[in-house]
Amino acid sequence: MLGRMNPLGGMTPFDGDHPLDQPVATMAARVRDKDDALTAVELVQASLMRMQMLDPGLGAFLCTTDELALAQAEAVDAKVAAGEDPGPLAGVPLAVKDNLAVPGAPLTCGSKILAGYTPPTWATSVERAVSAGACIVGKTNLDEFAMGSSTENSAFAPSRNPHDLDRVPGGSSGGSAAAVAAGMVPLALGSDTGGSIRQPASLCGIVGLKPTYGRVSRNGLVAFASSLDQVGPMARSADDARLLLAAIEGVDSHDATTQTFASVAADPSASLAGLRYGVVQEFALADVPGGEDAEAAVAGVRAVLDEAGATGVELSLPLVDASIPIYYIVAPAEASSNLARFDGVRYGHRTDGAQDLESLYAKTRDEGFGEEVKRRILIGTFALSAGYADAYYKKAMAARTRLREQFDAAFERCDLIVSATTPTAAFKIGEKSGDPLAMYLCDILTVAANLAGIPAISIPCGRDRAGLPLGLQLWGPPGSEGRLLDAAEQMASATGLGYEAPRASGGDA
Amino acid sequence: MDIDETLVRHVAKLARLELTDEEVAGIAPQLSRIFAHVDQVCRLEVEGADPATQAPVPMEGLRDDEPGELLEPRAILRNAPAHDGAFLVVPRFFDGAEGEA
Repeated sequence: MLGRMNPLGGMTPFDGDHPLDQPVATMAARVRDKDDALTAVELVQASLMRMQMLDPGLGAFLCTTDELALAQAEAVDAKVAAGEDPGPLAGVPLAVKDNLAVPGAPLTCGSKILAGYTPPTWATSVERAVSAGACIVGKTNLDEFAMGSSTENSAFAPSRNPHDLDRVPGGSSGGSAAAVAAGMVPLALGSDTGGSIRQPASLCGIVGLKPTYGRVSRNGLVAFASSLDQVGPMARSADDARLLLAAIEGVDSHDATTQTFASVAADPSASLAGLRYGVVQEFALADVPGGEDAEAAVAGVRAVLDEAGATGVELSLPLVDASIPIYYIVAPAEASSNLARFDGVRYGHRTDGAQDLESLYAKTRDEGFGEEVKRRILIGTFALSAGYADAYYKKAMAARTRLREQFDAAFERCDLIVSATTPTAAFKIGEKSGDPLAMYLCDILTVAANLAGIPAISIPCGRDRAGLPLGLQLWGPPGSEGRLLDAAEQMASATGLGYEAPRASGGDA
Repeated sequence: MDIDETLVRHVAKLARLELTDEEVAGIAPQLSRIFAHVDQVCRLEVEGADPATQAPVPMEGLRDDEPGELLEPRAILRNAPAHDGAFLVVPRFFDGAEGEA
């Protein structure tokens, strides 16, 4: 039984010295080294053991894929034994958000409507991680169809924040964030349509990166809003995230929007000295209730940056203020179209009460979809309906173009933008679940990156007054992930802020 | 934008969602509140901006027009709620239609 305020105390095999708690490059290098006794199987077994111990209290995983993980680990070890290179993620346990396809494992998207569905093919991003040596240990919980900011919209159960079990881990990639934060896995894949990687990373005190639109294939990712969705890495450090991103990125013939961008490899000459960082007036949290702690955390980092020789540039991007309204037209409009495929004909749930084909669709969808998904389908259908499409959808898309232009102009004047990731730290389970609009506003600092198609990363940035993790977000122009990751690593060194294992705070540990 | 129950029913029909009366009553005020916020979009001044997606598909991103890998029909049917071994089975198009489909 896990203690309420002491979720991991006394339970975790965390001692910092376990190979699973080392940097990903270190554990993979040891697995690849024939003379080192550490094997992929040992890493995977350690990960599975932690999942068994910790996950009943956290609910990060919807399913465990023990057999798959062990088979993959054995294949990695066999390659090492044969003198072959299993790849840069050799033996590294990886959690996969359950809106990405892994053949043989159920794919639920956190929804009842996909009951019983097992995909026949791999998501390209997952397959590439496996080709690089990663071992899939399980599928992680999410808000249904990735619509939400807390995982409370999962049709199964909410996940819990490892730093405080009464609080949400964020969402929609909340299961992946909780799994990494609790030390069950060193790496996880998430997806980010309006902040779904960065917001949970912030709330759980880890690193989460949303790549440039088109860097990572969306093939095998269940589509939410196709012009906004990106798959990305979640990890304990920027360098760990970099390794996973390098493995999964690149052109894919199954996703025509993929492109080749600049390498994400670390630039040894990168420095904070001379860095121009933008501070966007519209991201200020002075007027946001409860935003003081996040604002102070950003100010603290700015002071360190200035000390290191970086220069702050004040910027204004007026359309950032409209990014939530723009997003809540564009994303539901695309979702209403994408989710039309869930109709009870080809896979998943089918109603028992159909008299004809039309009622088969309508009843199946009413029974299978949860409240938030229905709400978004209705918003999107309305925004695209006759008489309203010009006023809403077309206008929102035009505004999106202007927003991208404002970012392009901003990056003429600075190398990257710094902001908080979320206005506040993790909220209590149930606190916002009755108020959809309040939940939508959780993404106020993240959606603009998706609308503009640019990369952004959330990194740990200390704690609020209640001791909960806060995140700092770095935004860059298209293709600048390498620069963002370099800056993230240097900021972590300069500030001393980074991932911390959930505290064993009580005396009962 | 005030969204009443009649409008919710109309949109739900377009979206092929058979909502219960209780759901309609619950959702109408929520959507009104959400649209009171997103209505800002209608007032934005963005004349001349291209409403097309910001990232057109680059030609080099398109693959050659050749048949790709195909899934086995069995792999598709395995996930189907109802099939006869070769085809997906669904109810009649019209309730009470006479004769064989």
